[in-house]
Amino acid sequence: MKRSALALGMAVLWVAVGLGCGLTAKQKMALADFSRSAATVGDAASTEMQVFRDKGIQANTQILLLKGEPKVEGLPTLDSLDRGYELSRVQPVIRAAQTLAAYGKTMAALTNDSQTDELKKASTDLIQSIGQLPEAKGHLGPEQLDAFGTVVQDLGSLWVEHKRKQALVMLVDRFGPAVEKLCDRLTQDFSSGPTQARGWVYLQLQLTNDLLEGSAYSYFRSSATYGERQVALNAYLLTADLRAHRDEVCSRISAAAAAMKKANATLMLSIHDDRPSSEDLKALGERAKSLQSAMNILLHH
Amino acid sequence: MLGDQLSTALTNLTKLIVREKNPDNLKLLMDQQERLAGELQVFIDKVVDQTLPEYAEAATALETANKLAEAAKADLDKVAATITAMARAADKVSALAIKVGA
Repeated sequence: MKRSALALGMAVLWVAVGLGCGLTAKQKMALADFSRSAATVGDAASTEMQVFRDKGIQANTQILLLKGEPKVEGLPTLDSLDRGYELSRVQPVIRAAQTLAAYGKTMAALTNDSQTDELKKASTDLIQSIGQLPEAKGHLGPEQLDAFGTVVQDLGSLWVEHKRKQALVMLVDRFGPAVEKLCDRLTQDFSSGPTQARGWVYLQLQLTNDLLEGSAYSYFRSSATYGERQVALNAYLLTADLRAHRDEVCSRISAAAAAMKKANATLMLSIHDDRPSSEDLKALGERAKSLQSAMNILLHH
Repeated sequence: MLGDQLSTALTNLTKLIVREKNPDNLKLLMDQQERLAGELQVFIDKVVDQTLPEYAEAATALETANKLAEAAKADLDKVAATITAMARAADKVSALAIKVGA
């Protein structure tokens, strides 16, 4: 009776320690939201910046073909076909967005439990090996060895959860502000208005599009042959594509970055809120029960 | 808001170009459009110069974060490896005991 009480006491203590060690269901949810959001925003922004560069160069080429070199400085020329979409300005955005996506994926991998199966296998190997030791042979039955395996696996699991939480709290505290700044940057730079000022990515696409549209119409009006009109029409079709892409993609990236800022803020708050939910308490109760049985077997041996 | 004003003006001017059929007027409008586009480009260039360092800063910070997160993940995976190493050690002890016994 005394041993059963001891087993129960140890299991409850163990679980109580575990309660403070691991992530709560709410924290896991906040991490999952953040990771998914970071991966989505990062992937979309980096891919689209490359698409914008490609389409921008294509449009600048058409403008030059239709109008010739500009009289005003700063607009695309034969020497600067990628004007407005230079690698020096596109690459830093792509790099930041790709790093954000990678961070989201690494955070998801760190949050997701990939150790349970490995721990189970390792503890099974351990009890098999211990069972072969001369000191254990004849003294420990299969039931005791199994109980020992459960305790080893649970100890390992508590340690893993403790280390996981420690790492995630450090990452969120240290890099949350940098993520927030990047979200603000992406929200503003891709903004298509009207609730906030239009961002430079949107403005650049609009500038290119307007120049191309004006050039296409002007050229079409002065065209005398089928071939000339076809050139103008192809350029006009490119403006429609560019406009649709600009309106659709810019607003989506801007809105997604704003939503990600919220997910980041929620995560920064919830990572320090260790209050367990009923779901956490239920899971820990089940764990305590399995531990108590294992302890009972070991203590009664 | 200067960017919004320039971009609205540019779009309005483009709408006028699309409607204009008189070649002389069209040429005037096209020249105006080019001047306005040049001003908008100057504005965009200034904004870009201000924002790019922030992207570089964010990328550097997140690269560090990634390295730390990957190291933490590798650290977690080591727990199972440690238990496996203990199992191997126990195997060696058993093998040794058998040899000594023999």
